[in-house]
Amino acid sequence: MRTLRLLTLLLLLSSVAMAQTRLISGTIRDAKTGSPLPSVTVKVKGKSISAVTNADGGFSLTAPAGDVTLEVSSVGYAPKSIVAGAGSGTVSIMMEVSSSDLGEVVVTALGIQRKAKSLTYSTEEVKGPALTAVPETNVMNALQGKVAGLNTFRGSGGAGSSVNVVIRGSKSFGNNQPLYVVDGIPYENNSPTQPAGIYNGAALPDAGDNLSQINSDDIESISVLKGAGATALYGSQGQNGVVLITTKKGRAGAIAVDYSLNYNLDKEAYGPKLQYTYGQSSPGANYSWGAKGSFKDPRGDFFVNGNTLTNSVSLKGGTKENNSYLSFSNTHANNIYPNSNYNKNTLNFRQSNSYWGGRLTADANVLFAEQHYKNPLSPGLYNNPITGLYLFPRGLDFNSFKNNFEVFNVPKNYSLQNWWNIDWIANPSGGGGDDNQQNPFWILYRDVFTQKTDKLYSSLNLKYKFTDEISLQVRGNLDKEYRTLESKLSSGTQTVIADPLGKYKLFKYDNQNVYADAILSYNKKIKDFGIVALAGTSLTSTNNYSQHFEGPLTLANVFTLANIKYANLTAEEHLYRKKKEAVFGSVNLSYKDYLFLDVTARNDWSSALAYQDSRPTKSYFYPSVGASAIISEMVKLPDFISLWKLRGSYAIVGNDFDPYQTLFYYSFTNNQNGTTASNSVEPYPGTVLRPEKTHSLEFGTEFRLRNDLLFVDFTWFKINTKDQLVRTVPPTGNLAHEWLINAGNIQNTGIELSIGSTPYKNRDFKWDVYATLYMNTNVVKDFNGINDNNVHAIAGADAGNMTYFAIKKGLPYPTFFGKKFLRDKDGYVLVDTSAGSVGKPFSSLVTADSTGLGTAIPKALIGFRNTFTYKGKLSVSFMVDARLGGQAMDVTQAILDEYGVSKASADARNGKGSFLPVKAKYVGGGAVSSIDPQVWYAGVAGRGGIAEYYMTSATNVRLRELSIAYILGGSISTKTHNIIKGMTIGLNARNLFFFYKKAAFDPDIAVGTTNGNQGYNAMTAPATRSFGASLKVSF
Amino acid sequence: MKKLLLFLSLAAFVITQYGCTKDFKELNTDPYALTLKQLEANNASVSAFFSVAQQNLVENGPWLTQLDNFYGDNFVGYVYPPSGFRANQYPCTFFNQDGWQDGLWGNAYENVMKQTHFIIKNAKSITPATPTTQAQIAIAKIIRVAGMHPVADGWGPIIYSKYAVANADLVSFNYDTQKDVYTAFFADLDTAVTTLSGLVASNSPSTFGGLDMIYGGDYKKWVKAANSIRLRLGLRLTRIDNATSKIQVQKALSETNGLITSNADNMHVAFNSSAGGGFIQVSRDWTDERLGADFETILTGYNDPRLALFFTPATDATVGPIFKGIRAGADISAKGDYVGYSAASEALWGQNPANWGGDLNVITAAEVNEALAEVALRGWGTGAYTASAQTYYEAGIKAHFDLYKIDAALYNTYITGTTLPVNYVDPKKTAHNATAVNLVPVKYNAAGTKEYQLQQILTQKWIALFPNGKEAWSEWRRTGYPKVFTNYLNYSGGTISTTDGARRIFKFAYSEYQNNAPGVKTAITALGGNDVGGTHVWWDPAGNTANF
Repeated sequence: MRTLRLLTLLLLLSSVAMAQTRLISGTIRDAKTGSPLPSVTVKVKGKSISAVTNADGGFSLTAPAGDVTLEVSSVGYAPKSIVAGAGSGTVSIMMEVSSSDLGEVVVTALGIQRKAKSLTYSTEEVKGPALTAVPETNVMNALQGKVAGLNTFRGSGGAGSSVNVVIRGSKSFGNNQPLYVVDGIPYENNSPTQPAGIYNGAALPDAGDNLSQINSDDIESISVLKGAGATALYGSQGQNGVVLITTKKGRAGAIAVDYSLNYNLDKEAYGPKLQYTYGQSSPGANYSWGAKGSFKDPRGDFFVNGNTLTNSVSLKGGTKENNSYLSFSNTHANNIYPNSNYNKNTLNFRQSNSYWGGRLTADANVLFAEQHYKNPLSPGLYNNPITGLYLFPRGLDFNSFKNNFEVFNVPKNYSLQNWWNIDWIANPSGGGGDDNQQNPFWILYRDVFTQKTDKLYSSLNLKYKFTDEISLQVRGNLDKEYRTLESKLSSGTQTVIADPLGKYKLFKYDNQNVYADAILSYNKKIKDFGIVALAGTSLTSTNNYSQHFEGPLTLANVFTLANIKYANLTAEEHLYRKKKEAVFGSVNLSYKDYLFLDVTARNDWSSALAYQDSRPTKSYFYPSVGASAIISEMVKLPDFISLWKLRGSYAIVGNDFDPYQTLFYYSFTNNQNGTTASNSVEPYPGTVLRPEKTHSLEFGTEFRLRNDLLFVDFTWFKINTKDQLVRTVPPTGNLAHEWLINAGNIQNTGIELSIGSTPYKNRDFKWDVYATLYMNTNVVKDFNGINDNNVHAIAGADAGNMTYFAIKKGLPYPTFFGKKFLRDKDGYVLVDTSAGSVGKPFSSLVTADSTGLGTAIPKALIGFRNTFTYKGKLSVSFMVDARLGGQAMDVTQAILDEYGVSKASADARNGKGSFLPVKAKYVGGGAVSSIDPQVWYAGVAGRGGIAEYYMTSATNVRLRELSIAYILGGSISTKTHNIIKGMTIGLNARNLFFFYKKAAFDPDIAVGTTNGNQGYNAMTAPATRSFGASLKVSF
Repeated sequence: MKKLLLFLSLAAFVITQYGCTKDFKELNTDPYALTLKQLEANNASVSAFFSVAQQNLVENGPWLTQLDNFYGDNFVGYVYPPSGFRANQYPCTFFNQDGWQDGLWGNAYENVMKQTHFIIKNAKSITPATPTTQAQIAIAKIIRVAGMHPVADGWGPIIYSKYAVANADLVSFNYDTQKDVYTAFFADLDTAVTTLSGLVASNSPSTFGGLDMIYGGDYKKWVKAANSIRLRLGLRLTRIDNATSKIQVQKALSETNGLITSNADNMHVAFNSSAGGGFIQVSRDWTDERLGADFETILTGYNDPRLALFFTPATDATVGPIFKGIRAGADISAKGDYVGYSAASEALWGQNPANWGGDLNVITAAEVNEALAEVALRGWGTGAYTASAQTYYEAGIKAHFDLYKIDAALYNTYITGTTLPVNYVDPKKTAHNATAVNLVPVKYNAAGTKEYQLQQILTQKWIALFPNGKEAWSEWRRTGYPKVFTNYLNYSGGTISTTDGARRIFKFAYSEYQNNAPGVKTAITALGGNDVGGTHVWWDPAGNTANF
């Protein structure tokens, strides 16, 4: 291995030293619009020298002395060749739009490059510049609204958060995230800790995911394979779609250096509406249901400006045979809470070599990424600074607790938390106060959570061409990741959360993933017929080991394992271990390059299925078939139509389940009570677990008019996921903690529409529009035929006392369930008549409810992006996106109302005497004309309140992105060298404003990215509005 | 070509090296969980489950203690939260919070019912049976009855005979009526006593002492515990089935190994912690538990030395340094108003449980003696237990004083006390004030009516049971004693009558409604009334308030 590295380095150096000849550089532009053309291949005719233009249309290459012919080619443009005379060092090339756009090559499953026109399913590609125009610390956030059929929920942790990506709707009761593939090889994306439920703060915040480890400047493009047909070859992991990330690689030519700098300013925005006109109920009271007055909003004394600074530099160069790419990036972000930040360093090296006259090619990549999180923003009621901030009783002085968040305690001889309801003299042992609202500054400075992640990723891809028709490819990757999470809860923290002398939690993760495959491919063209066939085998091995230590301290505030009280130490270790093997094959037939037929087949063996020796549960097989036709080439169409394509595919994808579920176990813990043993998970009574299968049918068409006037891509899909493995909660009488059942048939039916157009262009000005529409209807068609009418609570998904998530036949998955109002037959809410609570609403039995409160799944997503380019130098782009339909549950509002700190509660009090939020009747009849606001909110509000009242529409329309970029003209050169070849400056903004939003919070933000933790807000950090500036320089 | 061969063989090696499914079973075995096979060494498949089952007979940790405070302790006036949770809308004001009671239900099933199920099941699978496995089965049954009867008393119908026996749909589990559950309890005690008394009679050596946190494997003590629990459960039936009640009581009295009448035989769990149990944690660390008005006024009226042992004087300046409790169902708008009332005594509960016999008592000599006093009052005395009601009454008080190492001189003064409970005065809210209701003194009045004597006995039993609110609540529902203040706030929406005194049952677990709907249907049928707090359980027949 060391020799190989040394060799690679030598090759790189030699390729640089070789440049004995002359340098040709230039710019390639669209002949009509004058806009620079990126990704254009420039070749020296008759030589193996080539280059590709950068984002600004610039290129440079080393050519032999004398006259050379440069051949340029680009998708959508007619190929062109020009002669560069012996003396010319710079050239300017104008390209004409070609009559046909069909030559485009896209990356598909397993990294196989295919002509776009031959595809029988829908894919969509987003190029690097569109991803980095408005920088994100997790690149997947940049895809929202840019790909039809893709929906993201942003994690709650601030900078470096994980992101939940769902393609074509939630299909599985289990994992719904797509498979990520980097340069053809699967890239494990796990997020070891995710907040869940409203008491989360006592647990762990969002620990980020592996995608946040990728430097977005290293990304060339992202392709999204949406349907099962596209992903069948990836097997189970591709069931939810595949996100293919193609990273930048070296280019032939002299070393090119690109530097980019991004600065972003984040401002707290879209927080809840609070009141400052009614004071604390009484001295010492938690609630603010007191007398009228005028008080100060403490939020200004708490939130700070967040900012993100990213520096990224890359070098690329080499020869056609040996080229390399090296990049380094640093991101430092401060969140909008004090003492909450994120730091990331990435180092990426990629080397591509070819040997034996190009017969063997080797492509190797090494990535090192280091991330450090301090106090990521954590949702929930516990250990969350914003609960204390929002609920702070009106009329008290917040600032006095800001700088003095701790007070020295003489008897204890160290400092303890200082907060309005804590009194260490009256309550020397616990201090008093409330578990769900502590001093925000104490939490951030004395209950510090940190996470450190180191990742080392390496991959190697070898390809040998036996003949022009037959080749063999062997490749693999090794992905190692180490995470350390520490939570240090100081003495003086509420003792529900910590212990009197403090608490220490330590989590260590040691993850290793290996992937390897070998693919033999055959490619032949006989007259009008073409065949591409491949056969392969793959192996995936996952070994995720974790340790967890936790316990109260012996000496105050000494956060070491040795200082944990031995009798109360929790020590656990876990190993998530799985191996999967597969054989697969595919045949693609074509006729005259306008009719295409794809057939794939795959069989998987998974270690998770061990102990199940009966067919069909031992391994699983699944096929796919697809066809497409280019009508525009088959029949003569009017001249203005440049492309019309029809396509259709049907595919089945199988999926296994988590390990260790086929054997009965006792769980095992060691705590202060001695050794305990208890059983854990078991299959649903009387069943053998089967792998789940996704059946996917899609039809689509693409339509293109000449001169970019209009491009339309439309897809209709129907996806049924059957035999899902569901984790349900068994009744008391059963011995297992959880039951696993093959159940359900979740159906997602929908459409995707992408429209691109250049409505106007002249020599100087160009207007491009790109719009996406995605609509999906999600329904649970069947449960298991035995107890279809029951509401099945989803294990591990719980929004506290207020709602839970469940599966029920006939309803979308997942559906919110929770308390509703008790209503009479006419729909009037029934309220109490007893003394002291006249007007208090009654709630109906949740358990009698079978319709739920709605789902977080949107009905439609619309993205609308406009780009205006002037003289190819100045471009302005903005994106509006809309999420239509879907419900959100606002637990935050319920708590704010309970405490009397919400604006709604003040408005109600202002209108006291006529306050009647719903049409209501007294129990036993009698119309209600008004309800006392405090009585009303005592009935509906709080974390155990009436959920129905706090369901709100998640529909929103926002200006998601706005960016302005300017390419500085001309290059700075000396006599012999160009010092600076191009420079672009840009300004951008994200989440500038909402055109429409009903919910009091940003419904894009999820408590956690796991199923059932989306669509509700439980003291989640407010969304931000951000402004940025960027500079890109090419040397 | 050579290079190519090398390349191909390397590829082949990689594929064959990894490409096999032989290791799948090994890979799919969780190295950090246990299989039954691994547990079989040293018969840990039986013994490993004892510690959890035993610990969970009593309040295990602050969260369950808090639930006990909400569901039981406050109904009988022991303690009350100063916190005014959820704007006073919570179980202490009879407001139904779906799911809150599930913790108590779930803990009993998960940690007592399930663990004893595994002990019995796995012990039966060990062949041939040995005296040890037989004893383990017998002790597991006693633990199961001790742990599950509070569940049956709280909810009425429970899943007992059909535990781990699903209906034909494989996924629902039926409930037994409370009557059937009691019959099953007595049957469990029968077989356990037969096995263990046989082993005692044959002097069979006990070989599992270290695993038994309660009696260190002393079979004779286990038989005494079983007899004492039978006495407790037998008396529970006085109102519904006097004949069965008498049969079971006398069966307990006549068994040769006797009852727990001395503190040395007390059934309590040696909790492995140096800082007390949940009781002190909820009071001290969470500040969510303060003295109740009934416990304050009755013990103050009696000049009972135990009050100052269990609680500390108020720290609130407007109250002064006196013992002050909170009225059940109090209307509390700010925690700060009541957090300065009498808290649990750190000096007692904060110390090693070994010093005070543990708050973690399952059944003690004090309770058994008071039960024997009632037995004598009913004229059911038999065998070795035929002394007078007064004798047992006073022996019960003495046993409790001894348990807490209270000076004998104080005891002698105490039992002659003729003072009555005082009225309740709330310095913070006069609307909470209440006139004393439990108007009997400590000094036993053997000439009084049977009701009068029963009230005296049950009042002392109530003090002796402290802080076991669930058992005291059951005895209160059965006899109506001691008389306690009515709940100030009643947010039950009319489902619990304030004049009926208190909540009579717990609502069935929310999780059961979610996951075992067909089973809950059988439960409601078995309950014979609506699943609301005002419905009475079988042994507490509504409308029948006659004790004799």
